[in-house]
Amino acid sequence: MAESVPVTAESLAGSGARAACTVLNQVVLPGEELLLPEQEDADGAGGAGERPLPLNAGVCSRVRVVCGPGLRRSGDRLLVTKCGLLRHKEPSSGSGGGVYWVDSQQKRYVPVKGDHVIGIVTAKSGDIFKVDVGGSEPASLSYLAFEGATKRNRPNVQVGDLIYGQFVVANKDMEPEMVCIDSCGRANGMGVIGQDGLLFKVTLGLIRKLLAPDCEIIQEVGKLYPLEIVFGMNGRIWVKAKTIQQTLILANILEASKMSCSSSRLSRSRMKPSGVLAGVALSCLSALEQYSGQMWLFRGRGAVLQLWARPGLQGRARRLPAEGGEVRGAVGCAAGSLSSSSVSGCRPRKHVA
Amino acid sequence: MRTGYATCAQAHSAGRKRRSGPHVGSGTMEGVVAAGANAHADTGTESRSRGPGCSLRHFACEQNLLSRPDGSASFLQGDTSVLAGVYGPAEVKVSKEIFNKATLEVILRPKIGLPGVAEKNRERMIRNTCEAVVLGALHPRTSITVVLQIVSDAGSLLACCLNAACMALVDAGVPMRALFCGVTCALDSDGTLVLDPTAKQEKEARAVLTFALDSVDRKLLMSTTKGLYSDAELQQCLAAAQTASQHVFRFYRDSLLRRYSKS
Repeated sequence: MAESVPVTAESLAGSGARAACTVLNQVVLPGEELLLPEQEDADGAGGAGERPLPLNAGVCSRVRVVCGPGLRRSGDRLLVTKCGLLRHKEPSSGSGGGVYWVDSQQKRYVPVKGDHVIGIVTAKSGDIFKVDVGGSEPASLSYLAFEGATKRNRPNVQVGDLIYGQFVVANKDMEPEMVCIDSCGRANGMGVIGQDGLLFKVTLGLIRKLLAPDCEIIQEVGKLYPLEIVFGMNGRIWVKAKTIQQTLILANILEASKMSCSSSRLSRSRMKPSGVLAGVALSCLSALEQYSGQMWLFRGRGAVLQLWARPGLQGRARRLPAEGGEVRGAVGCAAGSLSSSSVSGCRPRKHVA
Repeated sequence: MRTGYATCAQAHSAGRKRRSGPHVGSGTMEGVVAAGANAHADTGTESRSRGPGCSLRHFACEQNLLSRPDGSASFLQGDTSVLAGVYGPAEVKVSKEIFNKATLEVILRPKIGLPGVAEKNRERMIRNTCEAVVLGALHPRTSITVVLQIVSDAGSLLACCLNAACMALVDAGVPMRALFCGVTCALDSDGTLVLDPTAKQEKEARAVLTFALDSVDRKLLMSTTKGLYSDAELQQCLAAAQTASQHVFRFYRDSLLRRYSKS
């Protein structure tokens, strides 16, 4: 009786390895095993799954595979350690191999060498600053690691300042170390972030999305106002526009963009991505500029809710039917006397702007 | 978001309110599961609103519903509900620092009052289970804290705590060797096996056994038992729990698929 429980052949978490190429851009769970292309062949033949020995060198069957975040190697097996979408990047030269990683939605930052981050100076002790970067321990930053800094000419850094820098030492066993100069000794945009502006936190996945070269959100946001913006890979965004109001609007748009639909979903719908964002942004703008003080975030089921508020009007809700009945995020602003009854069916979430 | 992949219609799910809060980026799933292949089919006399055979109660999960912790989840099994938050890998107190691995801490908060001996015992068991699957060596000298808040206890509490902890750890992106789940079995005085018992069934039961199982090879990670049972019965319960764990893991998968398909 006890052994009469067959583990069904379906691909549950962990039961049976799947080929990495078949699960690309799909969700993988911790404990799953992935098979690389050449391993599949080996497994199919012998079952032992051993890699060809490098003795027959020059036969070039060896490909270089890099395990990115969320994956680990155990012997000759590739195991998943984090939940997320499996991604793959082909190497620039040749075919096969490349980098595999898991794109997860986590909030906690773990320092990685070479990452550009925004830190907050928490202490000055002797010739180093302690910088909080959101990791498990504060990073250290030497006062000589600024452009033009010498023993005599110290940089003007106070406790509480924001620092945009880069990790030069980041591994699990050592205290991370930051610098604010590149390898040529130039600041290259790094250093102390100036006065004013607004710092806020988003998820690490959103930062990666925003920093992607083809990110439409940033392009659209850039058209709205002249702005200064800094993205830290540790999930922090610093933004500054001409006025506080504009800064807040931009911050709200960026925060809300985590709810905005992925481009694939948008392309399925009738709306153009830029159109949606422009709509979102415009509604924010006009409403906020008129007067509101409150910003509302809506999630609706089966409908995208957009609020339009023009200077003349008080605020009007518009429901757009969505295909497939999926929940899609939209941002609107409640201006003036928008009553809650006009947005019934959606639960507003108040954001103090 | 609710998906029911039911093999049998459950009457008792009708009285449940939908809980889709106004949370950003949250994913809620509910599923009804019948795991009844090998358990006794003699539960027909009972007035419970479960399907024939042994079945798990209705369960639901919502991830990423709290903003402050790095990962959070609420897990419902029937009327038992636990809210979990995970912080980590975060800064660790020097006194608790372990030089070659992460310090894992589990805090279990009862619904009312202060945690007592029973909670401390459960904390310990959950911590040992988590330690078996979390790859702490990847984040040495850090702390991973799991805070579990009991929202309502209607039986199979420890199993629900384990499930909530697992989902919260997954949400926080803590590296893990495998997923894990908790399954509770109760043995009646006449030897009937009940999976995922309610509080009443637990009270009437001759023995209550809780197992934690991992997702890779469905091995036992932790077991705790109370009451009188025979060797054969233990094996039987374990086998039933292993079958039930498949359903829980499938639920995990569906719930995570749902979450990641949204973003």
